[in-house]
Amino acid sequence: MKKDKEKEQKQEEQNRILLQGNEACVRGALMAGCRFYAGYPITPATEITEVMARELPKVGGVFIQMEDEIASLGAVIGASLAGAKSMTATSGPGFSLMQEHIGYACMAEVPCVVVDVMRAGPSTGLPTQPSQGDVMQARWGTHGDHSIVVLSPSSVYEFFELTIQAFNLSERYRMPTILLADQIVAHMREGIVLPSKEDIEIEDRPQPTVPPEWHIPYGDPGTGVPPMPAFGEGYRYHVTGLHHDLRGYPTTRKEEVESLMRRLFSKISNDLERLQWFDSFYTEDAVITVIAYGCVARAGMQAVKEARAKGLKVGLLKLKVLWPFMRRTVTTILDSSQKVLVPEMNVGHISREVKRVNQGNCEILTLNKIDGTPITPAEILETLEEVYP
Amino acid sequence: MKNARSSARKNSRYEIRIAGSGGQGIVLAGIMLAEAAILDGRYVAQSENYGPEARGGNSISEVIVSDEEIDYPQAVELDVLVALTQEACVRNLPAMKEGGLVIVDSSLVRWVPWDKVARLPFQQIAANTGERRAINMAALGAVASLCSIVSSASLVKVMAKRLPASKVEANRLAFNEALQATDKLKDSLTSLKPKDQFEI
Repeated sequence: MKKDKEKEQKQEEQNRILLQGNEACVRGALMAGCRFYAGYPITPATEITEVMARELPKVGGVFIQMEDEIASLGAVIGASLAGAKSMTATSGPGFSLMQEHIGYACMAEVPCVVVDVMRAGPSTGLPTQPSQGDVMQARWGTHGDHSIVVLSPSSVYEFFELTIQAFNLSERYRMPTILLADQIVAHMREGIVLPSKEDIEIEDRPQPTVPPEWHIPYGDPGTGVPPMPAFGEGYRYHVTGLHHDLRGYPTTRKEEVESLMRRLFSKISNDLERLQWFDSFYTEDAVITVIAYGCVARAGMQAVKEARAKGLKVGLLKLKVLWPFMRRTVTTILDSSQKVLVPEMNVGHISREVKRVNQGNCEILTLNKIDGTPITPAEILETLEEVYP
Repeated sequence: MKNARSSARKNSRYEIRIAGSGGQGIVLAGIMLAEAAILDGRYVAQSENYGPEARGGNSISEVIVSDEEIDYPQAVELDVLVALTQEACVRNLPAMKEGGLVIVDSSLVRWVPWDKVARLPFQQIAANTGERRAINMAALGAVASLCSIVSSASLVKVMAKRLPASKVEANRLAFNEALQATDKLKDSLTSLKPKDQFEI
């Protein structure tokens, strides 16, 4: 028995490979079934474009380097409508350019994955320095009322794992999913063991079960997500960014507009329970809980361990889903802790949300850094010691 | 910062930074060091930082090695700094842990305001093999000799995998030459042994 375990461990060690965060993202995308990539290289997301250009043709996929980020997401939307799982990757400046098409993909219900490796902004900013300044942009960057899913990895393995999940969610809900990584997670290398394809659950967009003439392209089958046949398969429908009726034709009738909007929101609001993805450490008896995401969660983890070694009852809640904001999960922490500390490499994006859902029982503290350098474990620990009751 | 490290974790985390200028193979050396440590069954986190220049500029590559999962993936206090230019040396010394070891190229780095220093002629060793670009592998030879966190056998394996076949021999030669030269130095200067040997 013991020998078996040793053998297993040895096998795992042998399968451990050194991968960069951006490379792991590509591996995840390919495993999820991504077969189309259009992008424009930008630091610190360039390696995703580079590795995709090398790897996609090997699996029969298509890679295009486009003239800019607007065209990139345009091509991705087109490919997705034609049936290919598609993605693009960029950083802040390119993400700004993509906002219009993100809205289009929300309205036209086109599954696609957009990776934003955050670097310090605004504008051209600090190309090779980390930041978490795009959290609100990922949520509200495109105009109009809409819901969106945003995931945030904190390790090379999580970047792999959440890329697969980003594809699954975008297919499940027929909407763009945003992967919000940061420069540190994207550029660092860690030894990881990739699971085999059989161990990964892959979701595909729902397909019609009726012949083309019966298909209602924007009807609600009960899940809020209409079936999505690929163009060229015989199903004809109209795709538009305008408000549209069940057949896809533009409408201004208030009943039709409202019912479309309600259905679009229902896709996420009816499924919130399935979108509580987090890791928690030592939170059961924590007097202070650190709530963090991305590379800051790594510093938080070390700070919490060091504080525990000193006898401080502190814990960590690491968020993997940023949007929709995990109110249920965070509320549990707010109920059980006296204080919550939200360290972020911005002026306070997620801490605003924590304050919003706080019912007044908990004191919310922030630790913000906007100088292009990462928040260190020592900085978090110092704050924890300072505010520990 | 000092009191931030709990005694229980003292020896499990080991931080090495290789610093120099663009074109010296700094990033590759870090990647290979990390891969070798994985072969030795350890956890690693490698990261790099460089300017926009293809040659020149400042380039650093750091590897954190541990026998347990690594929480914070960036260097906090360096156990070892390998500096291949004078500027890289001066710039990175402030990140050193007290009692840490600095390894420098003896001809490229003249001034090292630090007490525990190993000076080796990496550039010369590489030039002698006919492959000047093997300076990074020569530096890894010294790391293999002075730091017990990675085995030279694993580094040689990674070299064969990562380098173009025609360059492997010269690089291995540079690595071995530097390893032996450092071993000799190590015997004559006992104070060079890193105080906190990595033990598993």
